[in-house]
Amino acid sequence: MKENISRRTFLKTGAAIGAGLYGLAYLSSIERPKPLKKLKENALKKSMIVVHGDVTGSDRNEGAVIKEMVRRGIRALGNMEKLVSRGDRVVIKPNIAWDRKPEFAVNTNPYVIAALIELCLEAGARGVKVLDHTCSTNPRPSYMMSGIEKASQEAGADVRFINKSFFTDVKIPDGKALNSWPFYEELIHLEELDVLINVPIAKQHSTSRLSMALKNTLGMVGGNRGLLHKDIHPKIADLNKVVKVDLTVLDAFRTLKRNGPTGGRLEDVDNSFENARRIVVSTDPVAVDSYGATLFGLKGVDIGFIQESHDAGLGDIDFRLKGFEEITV
Amino acid sequence: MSGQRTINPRKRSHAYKIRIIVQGILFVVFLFLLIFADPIAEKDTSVNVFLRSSPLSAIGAMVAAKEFIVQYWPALLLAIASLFLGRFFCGWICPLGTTLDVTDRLLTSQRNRFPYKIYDGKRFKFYLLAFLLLSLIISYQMVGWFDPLSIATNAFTVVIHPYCVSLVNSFFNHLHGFPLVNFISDRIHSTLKEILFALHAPFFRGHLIFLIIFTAIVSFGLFYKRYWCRNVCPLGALFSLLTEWSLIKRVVGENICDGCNRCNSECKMGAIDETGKKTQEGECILCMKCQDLCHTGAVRFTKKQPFDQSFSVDLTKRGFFAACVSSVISAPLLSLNFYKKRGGGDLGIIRPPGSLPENSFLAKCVRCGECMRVCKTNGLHPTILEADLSGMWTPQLIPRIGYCAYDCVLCTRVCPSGAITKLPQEVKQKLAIGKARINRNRCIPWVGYAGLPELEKNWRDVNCGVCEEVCPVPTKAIHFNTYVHGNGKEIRRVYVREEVCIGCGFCEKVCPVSGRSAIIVEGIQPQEKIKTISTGKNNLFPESIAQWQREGIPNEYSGSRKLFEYINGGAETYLAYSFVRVSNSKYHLKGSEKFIKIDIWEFGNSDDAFGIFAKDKAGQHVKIGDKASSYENYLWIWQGKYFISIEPYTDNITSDDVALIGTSLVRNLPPGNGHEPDMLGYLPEEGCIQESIRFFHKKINLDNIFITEKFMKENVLHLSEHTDVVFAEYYSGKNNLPFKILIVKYPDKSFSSDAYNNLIELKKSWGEEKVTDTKEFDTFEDTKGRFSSVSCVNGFIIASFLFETKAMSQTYVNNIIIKIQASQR
Repeated sequence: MKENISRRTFLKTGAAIGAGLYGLAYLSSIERPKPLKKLKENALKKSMIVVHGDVTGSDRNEGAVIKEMVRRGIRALGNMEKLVSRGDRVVIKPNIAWDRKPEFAVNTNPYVIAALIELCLEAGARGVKVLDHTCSTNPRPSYMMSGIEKASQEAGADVRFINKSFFTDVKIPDGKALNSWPFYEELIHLEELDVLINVPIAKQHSTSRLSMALKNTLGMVGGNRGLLHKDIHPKIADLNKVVKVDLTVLDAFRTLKRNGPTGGRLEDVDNSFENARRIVVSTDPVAVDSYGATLFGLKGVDIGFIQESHDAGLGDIDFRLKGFEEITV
Repeated sequence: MSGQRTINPRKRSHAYKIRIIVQGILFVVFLFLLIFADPIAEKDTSVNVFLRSSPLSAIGAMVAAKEFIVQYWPALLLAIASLFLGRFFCGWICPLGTTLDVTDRLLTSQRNRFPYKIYDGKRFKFYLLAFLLLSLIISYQMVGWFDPLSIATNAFTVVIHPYCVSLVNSFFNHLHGFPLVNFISDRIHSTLKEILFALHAPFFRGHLIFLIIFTAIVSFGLFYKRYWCRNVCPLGALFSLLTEWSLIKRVVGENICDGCNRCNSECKMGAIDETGKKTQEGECILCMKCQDLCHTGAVRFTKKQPFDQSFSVDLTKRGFFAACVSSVISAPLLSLNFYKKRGGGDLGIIRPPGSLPENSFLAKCVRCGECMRVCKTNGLHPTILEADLSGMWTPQLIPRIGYCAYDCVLCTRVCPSGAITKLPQEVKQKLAIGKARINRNRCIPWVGYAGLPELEKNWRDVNCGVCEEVCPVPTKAIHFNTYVHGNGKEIRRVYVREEVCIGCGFCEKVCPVSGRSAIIVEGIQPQEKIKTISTGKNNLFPESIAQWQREGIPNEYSGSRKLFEYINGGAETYLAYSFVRVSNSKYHLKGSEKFIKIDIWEFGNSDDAFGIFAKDKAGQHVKIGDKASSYENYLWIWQGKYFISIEPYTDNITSDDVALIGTSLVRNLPPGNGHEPDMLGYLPEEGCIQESIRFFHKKINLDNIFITEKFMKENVLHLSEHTDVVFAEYYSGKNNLPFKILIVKYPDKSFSSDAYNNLIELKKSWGEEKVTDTKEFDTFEDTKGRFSSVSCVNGFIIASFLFETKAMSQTYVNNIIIKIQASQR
């Protein structure tokens, strides 16, 4: 460290280092449009499966029943092997928006996630990632409180937190209310995943009226998400034009009737066999939402974003059109 | 003398090695407790053990708050230990001292080359201590700013940790741009983030201020090692005063020492004189370096220090005097604050939940920054100058950056001094730390309301409601008032239910309006429990009715402002009567899923209660109270000054259920029957439709009644709280619209004649033609051939509408005039 550097060396090395750094920065800033994920070709049935679950008996373990419901539902649709091929990378997107316990019915039931992870791994998936862009600033309490972190890790999945800088702007083709919006890379880039499974929970929502499969897409995007709440119905449809969900599993085991989407009172949660206690499985998110609306005494056409999504050709608002099957566990 | 050479010089001192290890371990523990503060604090409260072991903070908080704080027991232990062990804390434990040891080592070569020397009298810290202790009594608690433990905690929390996190983040995010590299780097990044750092990069406002302070403390190391500890640290001064009876003191074997002067040049405290034999009283921090250095092995640490081997720091009277005077002078300086003078202590700063009232909070808070560290959402930040100088670096919630998480009570658990009292989660969730207010000039639906008619595309709307969505209060402290415009566009304007708002700031955080939020939370002091309990005793709802059980305590809303919180939107129609209060409660049938919701309205007089009953009721007449009406499983009752509305909360309620509850509630009301308003007697009985009878005072209620196709826009009838109005409809015989009769009673005849003239003018402007002109009334015929009459008698206005024949219209009005005149005679 003793020798001094001359002015010439200083300038030379400075220029060299500067050029190097600039070059690196330039290289990393070049936009390499990565190919977006497409819907995976699958041999699943196109019909809708509704699995009812009865947990009234004292011998019935809630977790076991829910897992069985999911398994039966997937089996009725074909099997997980028909969607997930050996070596596929699967991402499961639950709703983990809030730090509340599962009984408040604001986050997806952890058993549903666990059952799906097991099914995917049994089908030979290379890895299963579970992630959500939470509404809470700090995701960890939500992941922990919802029970999803623990259940998923036990089932063998890789639970990931969102990295705020991994959102990329995606152009929305023929968007009605949006031209582009930042999406999370791990959910849309072909190089990141092969299969995307959307696992929402059915709950009342103050702005969009209901929050189910299509609305769960808001957990896949970044940006100022609050701005999406103005003209929310066409915007939800627009976001769903980008996200390619291969399978939708709606958790309606418990539904939140009032004070959504955050809830927090057990009185607001519907546990009845008539209106809840079911898992809805389909490859068509619009049909799933349309069916989900009936649980709240509404119809698909009543809800703006379901109608908008139907009009945009994202699915069919008539959930009986491609077949409808009910199973009771 | 020959013995000297036979002593085998010890190469290394064991005590020195032990000290290095202990100091290192404790420093690692300190960092560990800071980095993993969140998960550790979830389990118990020992995260703050370092902060609680500072006797200076302990004295400061206790004296300023004038109470004994039990959780400072580690400080007491440490003080007692220091009596026997001297100033060992500085050399062995203090995390700031350890940090300085490291930085001093890094600065060694710079220090050796640095030509300047500055004050090193070691006295200043005693004066500072005197200043701080005196100011505790005469002005404010300021010890927190100078406590080395607070400084160390702040330095790592506010400066070093956030800087490290953002360095790591920007480095790995940069690597993320490169293919192949990012495969590995992303993995390392997420591991680093999830294991070592908070998941969201914390940052604190004012970090630059602390960076400057911290840099200054470190860079004094260019002059002397541990300059802070030698000259400034008041905690060091305190310990130094306790060393008089220490059992471990530095002793030099006079015969063995060869005067090599290595110890005195290496001593980081500068506590050894030029001869190397004398030690300055209270300055030795027992670092054992001199023992380790001494090649002759002359240095020992024992109880018996020869009298001539110690010399003291000479404190001057002048210095003490200056400290005392400046302490007195600083009192008014610190309390200079414009806001505080105006607001009477309430500055609108949101303190963490469980904070004491402002003055006690400032007295107890030791400015350690631990609460900011554990805040899960990064919402707590240091106060700069909002709470005047004396409140500098106290924590405050800045909702736009981070809100107060509903389930989180971490800050209340880690506060070392109890400025934030410990709260169980249930209590914290009901404690209001602030109140949200909506800025209607920025809020999207409020602003968009004006532009509603101009929305072109059919899918456009101006709704938002993100604040309502995120509100963590289970029953929502924010709610909507839906308004449907003529073009079918629906708008949901946002209101805050102030009584249940806990001021967590989530709404302000998420408000999508860029820049300043459209909903702002202002702190309230003292923090109070949100009201679910009525202010007065409410005996209207018995705890149980047969098998029905009351749910919790009834809510009560009294006065106009409160009513808006309850029914916001339709409240004006109720306030147009002499509204006193409304209470509501729910009943639950044991062992079933049946819920019933009840509102009991109290009015100033029974006439008004009747008016509301007449307005709200529907369906069939039932025999409960003075009058009652039931429709399916809904029930409305009028009894004296009270109006009761019972509605099903769940779908499975039968009409018998509501009747049972209604009867019991009427029996439970304060005694006093009502009778129908006298004015009802003026109405002709023949053909009267009982359901249509209305009684009211103000124009707003008139607007809610359909009279004719034409609408009275202006208050032509001069309706106010002093006027009584009766309205009724009559069977028309044929399939036409019913006839209508309106009677208005004025307190003064001049009003009635003025209103009469206005009405005549209005009718003319509607294109109605005057067909009769008798002395007592005018009759008009409208374009569709229907007749209406208006009369003004004795301070009354009687008006009939939509009659089929002229004669009939006149007969009805005439009958009323006769009745009125008869009653007034």
